[in-house]
Amino acid sequence: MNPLLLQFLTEGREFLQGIGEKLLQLEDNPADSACMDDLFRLVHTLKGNSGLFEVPEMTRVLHAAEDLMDATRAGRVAFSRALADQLLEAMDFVAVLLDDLSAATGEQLPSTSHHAAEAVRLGELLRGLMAQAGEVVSEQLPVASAAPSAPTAVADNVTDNWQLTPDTFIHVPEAQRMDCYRRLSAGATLCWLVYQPDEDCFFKGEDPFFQVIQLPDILWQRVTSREQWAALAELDAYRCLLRFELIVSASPAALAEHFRYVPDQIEIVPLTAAALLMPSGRVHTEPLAAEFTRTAQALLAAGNLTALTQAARTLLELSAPDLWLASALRWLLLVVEHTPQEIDLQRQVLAQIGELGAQNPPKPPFSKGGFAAVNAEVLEAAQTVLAAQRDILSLTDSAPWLTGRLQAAAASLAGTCASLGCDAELTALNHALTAAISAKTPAPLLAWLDNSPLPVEKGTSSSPSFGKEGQGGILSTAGGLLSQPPDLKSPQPPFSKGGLDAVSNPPSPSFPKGGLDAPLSKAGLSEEPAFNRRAEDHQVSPRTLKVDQVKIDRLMNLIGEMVVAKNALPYLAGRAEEVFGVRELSREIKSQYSVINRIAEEMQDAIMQVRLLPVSFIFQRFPRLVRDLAHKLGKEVRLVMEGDTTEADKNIIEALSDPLIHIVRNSLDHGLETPAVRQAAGKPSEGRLTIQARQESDRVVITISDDGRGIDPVVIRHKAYEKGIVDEVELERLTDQEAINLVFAAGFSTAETITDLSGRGVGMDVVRDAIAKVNGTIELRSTVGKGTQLRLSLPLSMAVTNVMMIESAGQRFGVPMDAVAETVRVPRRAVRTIKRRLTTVLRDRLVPLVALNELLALEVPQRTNGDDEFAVLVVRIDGDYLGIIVDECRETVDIILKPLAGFLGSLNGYAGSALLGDGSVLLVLNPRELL
Amino acid sequence: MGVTLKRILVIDDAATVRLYHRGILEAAGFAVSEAINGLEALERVAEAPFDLYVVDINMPKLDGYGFLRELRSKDIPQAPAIMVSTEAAANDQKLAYVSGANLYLIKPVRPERLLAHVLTLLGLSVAPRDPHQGRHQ
Repeated sequence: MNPLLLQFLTEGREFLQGIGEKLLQLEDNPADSACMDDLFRLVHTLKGNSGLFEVPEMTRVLHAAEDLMDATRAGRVAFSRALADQLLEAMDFVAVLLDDLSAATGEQLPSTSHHAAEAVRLGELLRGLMAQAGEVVSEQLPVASAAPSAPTAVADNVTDNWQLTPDTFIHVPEAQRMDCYRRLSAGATLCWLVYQPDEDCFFKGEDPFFQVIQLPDILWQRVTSREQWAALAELDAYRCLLRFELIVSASPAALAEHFRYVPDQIEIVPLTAAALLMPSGRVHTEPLAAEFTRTAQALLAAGNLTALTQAARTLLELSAPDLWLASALRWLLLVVEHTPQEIDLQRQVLAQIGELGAQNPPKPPFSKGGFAAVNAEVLEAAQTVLAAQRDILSLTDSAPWLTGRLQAAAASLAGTCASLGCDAELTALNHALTAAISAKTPAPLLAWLDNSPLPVEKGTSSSPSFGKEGQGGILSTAGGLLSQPPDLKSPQPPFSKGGLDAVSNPPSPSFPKGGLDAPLSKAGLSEEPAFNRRAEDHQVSPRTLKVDQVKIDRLMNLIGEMVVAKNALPYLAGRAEEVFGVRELSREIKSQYSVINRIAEEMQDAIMQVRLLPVSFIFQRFPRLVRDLAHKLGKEVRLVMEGDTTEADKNIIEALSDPLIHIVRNSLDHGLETPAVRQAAGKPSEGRLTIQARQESDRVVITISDDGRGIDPVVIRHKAYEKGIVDEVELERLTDQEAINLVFAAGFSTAETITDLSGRGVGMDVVRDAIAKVNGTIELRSTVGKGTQLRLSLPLSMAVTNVMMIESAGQRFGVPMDAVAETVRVPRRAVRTIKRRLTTVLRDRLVPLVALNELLALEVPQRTNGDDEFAVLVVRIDGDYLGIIVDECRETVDIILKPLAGFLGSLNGYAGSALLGDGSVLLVLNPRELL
Repeated sequence: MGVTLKRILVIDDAATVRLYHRGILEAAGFAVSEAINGLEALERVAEAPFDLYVVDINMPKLDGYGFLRELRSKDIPQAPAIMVSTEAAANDQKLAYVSGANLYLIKPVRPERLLAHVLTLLGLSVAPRDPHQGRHQ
């Protein structure tokens, strides 16, 4: 994926996380102005970032959110729960968009336009909150910002008319667009107007058609339906679904006035000539095009527009009129005729035609991010810079840092001078600077600027040394140096759908890597060719490194494989000695093995550290979850989280996530009571849910406790009997604790009615199984009326499993060591049969015995040793001890346990398999399931 | 004379924006450093001044205006600063100029546009060394 997009997505998610947290904090303490500022900044920055990509839906919603936060921060809108709800919903929407974007494959950004309606809805809701508070809602449309108050045009107009893409005008016929172009170049003000009347407008006495017809000077119009028309029988003729698109010769202000009663239903965008320039037609590879482009570019560079026109006409006559090329040529002629000063535009059209000769179909020139584009903007940039310095030097304040400001302005002017080749002016500039600094006034610099031949504040073409001819000269020189064909191997810039217009080009965050390197190092930095970066240039917050999980997993697997591979060395040493009789080599292999073994263990340890994640990784979603659930259920809940910095292996943490959510849901749904019930029971109306994490030796313990109604053993007994989980005899025998534990039985659900929150057919048995899968245990304690506590205990890491190897019926098996209590030898005579079950007495305790061969359905009797003793492996399952009779107990070994996959995956009796050093496979038993 | 690259400091709290600017500027052969807020930027400047600054406005700890005021108060070679904002507000632009910015651009700045301005400010854009100018000198 494009690295910029990747960064945006990662950072975007962090921002959303932060925004969510701040909102919840603010709910607790709405007066926290620092928190409010942070929140605003997060939204603001996220909006700014989103502008780098073409995701208008996201920008729209974030823009509204930012405005709302700004109003809230300034105290114009009060912070409320409704506001927080709305913002959270908006952020959820942004998260959805981020997910969509992260599905991007290749360089093309996936379209998010199917979210457009939702974006509009959310945007309006957010703005609605401002409107309610009496805030003047300024929709992002440039009706206001396009007014004369716009700053001295340094702004990239992009923000104002981001919705103007070349596609916007796809339905406007070329002749109409050309007509508009002529009018615009003649100085007319044209606007693009979209009017989408309210669905209920007919009931409000509005007449959209009349409104439109009343407009003066409509140059082009189109009426479409916002939705597919329904079948005639179902058509609701009174529901207005029209969308008017018009090009009108009127100012934005006049249009805003015309539609003053429905400002929310219109979009007005002032048109620029460049935006209309879009050749269209049948694309056909045209070998002549390349040739023509070369000639034409030369003519354009030489400023010979007459010859250029002639050449274009000739080619036009040779081309079929419906061809794209013909259309492009017509545009070229139009641009040359009506706006001869727009060299940029002419070059653009030419570049496009040039591409037609090279490839098919043509790509818009700017999507290349070629240096020609930079070149085209240099003169404009110089003028902008000079105008800005003039503004700066005209400031009349006397800031303490005036000297620095003067120096910086002088430096900027010097740079611009050098850029434009007016090096001769530099001496005078230096004198002026010295004078200015000693007099503490910008006047001398201003005077220098006015007297210099630099094209400042004098329009685009009236400067003596930068007349038309001069401009051509600059561009031709520049073009000669720089508009070499961009490196075609360079990556295509990712996301620009392609703007044609230089000025209101939609943002094209192309990464001009590579493509720019060559020309620039030649031209711009000719005297500085080497690229010896300094160390400090790259020292940017090196404290943490973000790494893709997949990479860590890969490293983990590789290390696992190495651990197994190194185990082959002792076998090799044995073979060297026994088979080949070279004891010397055997010893060397063994000593090398110990070195490799140590390194491997350290590596394993190191990677384990990397994989540790704080439980906050899953805890962080609980505040929001609890808040939303509580609201939905009409309960008041205070969530207390402790120890969220406790760390555990990533797999453990991930395995915990769903069970924990389920437990929390259960707690809120069934455990905690509504405020009324609580008060009646003499409890505070606000329920309390505590989630605690801590480390106990090599395990992570998580407790979830609430002070709700608790679990009633009587009810549980009743239910269990009803569902046939226990019979009458067992019912009598069960202790209260045992009864409570029945909630973990498969098919048990205590909910009287299935709510939409928890009762989804997922019971506590699924939770227990999920926890057991990662070698965790779960305990439930509950007191009626007081509350419920769940205690989860999980291993810190599950990467390496220590197993004991056992032998039975001539096969080797593994048993996880954490299940093994001890291994003992039991004489045959000490084995008794009680109630048809094998048992033995171990240290005055009755331990049931089972033969492994019997469990595995192997038709072989267990072997005994010479003294007629059985080897018994005592395992502990849920606090009970059980002896497994095996043929032989062997050594313990560290293995990487791989779960069984495919058809074998359903064999619950096995925890998985592992590869041993000699290359054989060891099946690891799962005692809990086996019994 | 030693061969060095022009050094540019990109100051923005958003990593995405820093990456965007860095990508554009490094591709054009500049040595780019980054700072995540005004304070960190001042630390970088204290190590060695830069040839150009690209400054965001809204940042935690020390914002763009504050950074520029501090920068312009220093007795070091003063280099041009481009302030990059998301708002086209005339007020912000004036404040930027007063604080010591030399240019005010609106985000997102297209790569071509940013480069054109950077090159111009650093005196690196292609000089029109055409015959007229030649004779003039």
